[in-house]
Amino acid sequence: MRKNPGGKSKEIALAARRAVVGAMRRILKGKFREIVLIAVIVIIGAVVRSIMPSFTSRINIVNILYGNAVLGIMAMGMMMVLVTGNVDVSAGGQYAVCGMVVAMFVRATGGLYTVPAILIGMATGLVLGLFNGILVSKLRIPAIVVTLGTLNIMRGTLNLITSGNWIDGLKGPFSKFANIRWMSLPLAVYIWLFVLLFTYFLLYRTGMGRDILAVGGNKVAARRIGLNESKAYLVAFGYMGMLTGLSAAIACSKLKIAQPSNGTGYEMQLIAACVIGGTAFSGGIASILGTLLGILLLGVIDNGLVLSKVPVYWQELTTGVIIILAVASGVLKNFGRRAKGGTRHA
Amino acid sequence: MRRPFTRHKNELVLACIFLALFVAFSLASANFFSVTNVMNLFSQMSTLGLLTLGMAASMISGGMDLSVGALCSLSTVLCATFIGVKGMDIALSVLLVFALALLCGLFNGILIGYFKIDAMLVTLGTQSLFTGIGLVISKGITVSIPTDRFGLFGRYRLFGVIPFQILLLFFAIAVSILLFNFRIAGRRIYLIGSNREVARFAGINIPRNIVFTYVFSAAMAFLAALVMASRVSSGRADVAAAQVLKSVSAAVFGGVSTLGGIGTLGGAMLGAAVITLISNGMDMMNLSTYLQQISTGAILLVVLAFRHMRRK
Repeated sequence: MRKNPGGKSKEIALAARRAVVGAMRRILKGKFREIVLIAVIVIIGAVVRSIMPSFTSRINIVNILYGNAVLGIMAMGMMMVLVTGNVDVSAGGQYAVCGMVVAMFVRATGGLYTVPAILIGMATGLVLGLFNGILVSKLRIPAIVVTLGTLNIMRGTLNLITSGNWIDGLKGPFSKFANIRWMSLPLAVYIWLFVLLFTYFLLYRTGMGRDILAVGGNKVAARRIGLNESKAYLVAFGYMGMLTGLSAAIACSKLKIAQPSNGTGYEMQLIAACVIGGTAFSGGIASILGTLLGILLLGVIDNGLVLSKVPVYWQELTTGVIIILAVASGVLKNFGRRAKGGTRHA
Repeated sequence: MRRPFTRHKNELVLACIFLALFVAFSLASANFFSVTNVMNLFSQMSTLGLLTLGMAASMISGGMDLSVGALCSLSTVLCATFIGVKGMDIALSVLLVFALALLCGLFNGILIGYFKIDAMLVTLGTQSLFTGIGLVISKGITVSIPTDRFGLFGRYRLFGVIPFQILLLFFAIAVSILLFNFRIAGRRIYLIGSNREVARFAGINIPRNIVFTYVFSAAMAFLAALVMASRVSSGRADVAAAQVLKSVSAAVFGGVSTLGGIGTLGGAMLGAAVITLISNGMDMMNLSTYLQQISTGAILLVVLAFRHMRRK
């Protein structure tokens, strides 16, 4: 029989293609929303670039990442809370309290102790988050009402103690840590990346994460198989608080100022980012990649509008339209996800 | 004879809290108990009360209308733009703004009722949308109404004593309670809120009733906007932003459940009254607004915790 080298290579090519297509299918399975989000970000980017070529410059892209690291980290916490079927509208209040605590510590120590300052921020956030978590799990009051109450208490107490004054002029090594560059990316972005990976690990590779997803997906079923929903709530709210503290420390280092009014309206932005990314309000469904893309989408829109010199008051309108479109699009074709209540990988 | 008491226990408790606080503030502050201040108290309550009516209605239907504040702000901007900038006739502008506000409510209602999207998500989006439209129209600044003839809703006092806005509030409360507690339309909304599945099997047109609820909420936001715009003769795109969470607090405080189907509009009004009373009384005692913020939050949590313990 005559050898057919062409046929052999064709076979190899075919097998390779099959393997690649298969791998792609596996990766992209059920990620329709994420793909659409990437496409939307690319389209918006292309439009802005045609108006303002500097949009895709390395400096601007780094700026977008650096500017959204704070919200991006907090969004992971908010996602965790949403996954359990709760919501935390006190995020902005926690953020302000943590920021002020960190700033006080930094001012007192001259900014010499960076890691302790960050840890103090995270500890403060953890306490506030656990406070929310305890109220929600023990009193079984809807989380939106509990966090509404604690938001008032946090902001009020903070304003009362500081009489509305801010702390500025933070110095020392602390005021530089967020912007330590490695391969032209600031440390804050690496921290963000670490938080993303850590959240993935926590949610999908530990029993606790599985419990959280299960409790959010079907509370009654989770209770029947003996899962402790109070524990899941505590972990989720505590995680949210801890990440808020971390974000507040980064923001302190970045802006070198902390204000009692910091973070006003953050809760809505965080919820919006999570929802755009496909995290379900009813709990049980999370998407880490989607949340990341949600943050980036909002960030790119903001940045693009500024660069295109569109008056600043158009931002709110575009954000609203994007949220409504994202939410409505989810209904039109449930975006290739499994039936409600099912869990899904990031 | 015991029935009204057991049925409206929550409302009675709230009324007692209101009276107790009222007496306490009268004793603590010399200026509190006067006709002027009591009238002021109810005037201050009018905007929060109107917004809470809409919020409570949406919560009873099983959703939550987070866009009431944005819609209210947008309506003040529209009022100010039509009357102040364009110089249109006042009655015509008011009617036009009313129609536009109802349209916004219709938009909410259609997305929630017919497209079956979660109410909080929709109104979160429309909150941004309405605020955004207001910002774009007003270019982010306060739009003033130069004419003095628009003062009816916010500054006019009947016989020089009773502010017109109080009458407006009481009229709205009366109509709403009649609608929600004594008409079939309201009972339908209660049923949808407490059990949507059963409501569907009972043959209730759920989308249509949901749309009605959000249009009602928009109408209340519009009334609140009239009072606000008239009070300070201007409109601003974020003037009522802080009222949203306050109205949620008031409604929950008044016994309306965030899960739907439970609570009355009358209770919600008592909730709004207590919250307004706390801030007014503390104002009269020259306590800081921050302390008011803390106490509002703390009282909300304590009352809810107490209610929970009793339920157990």
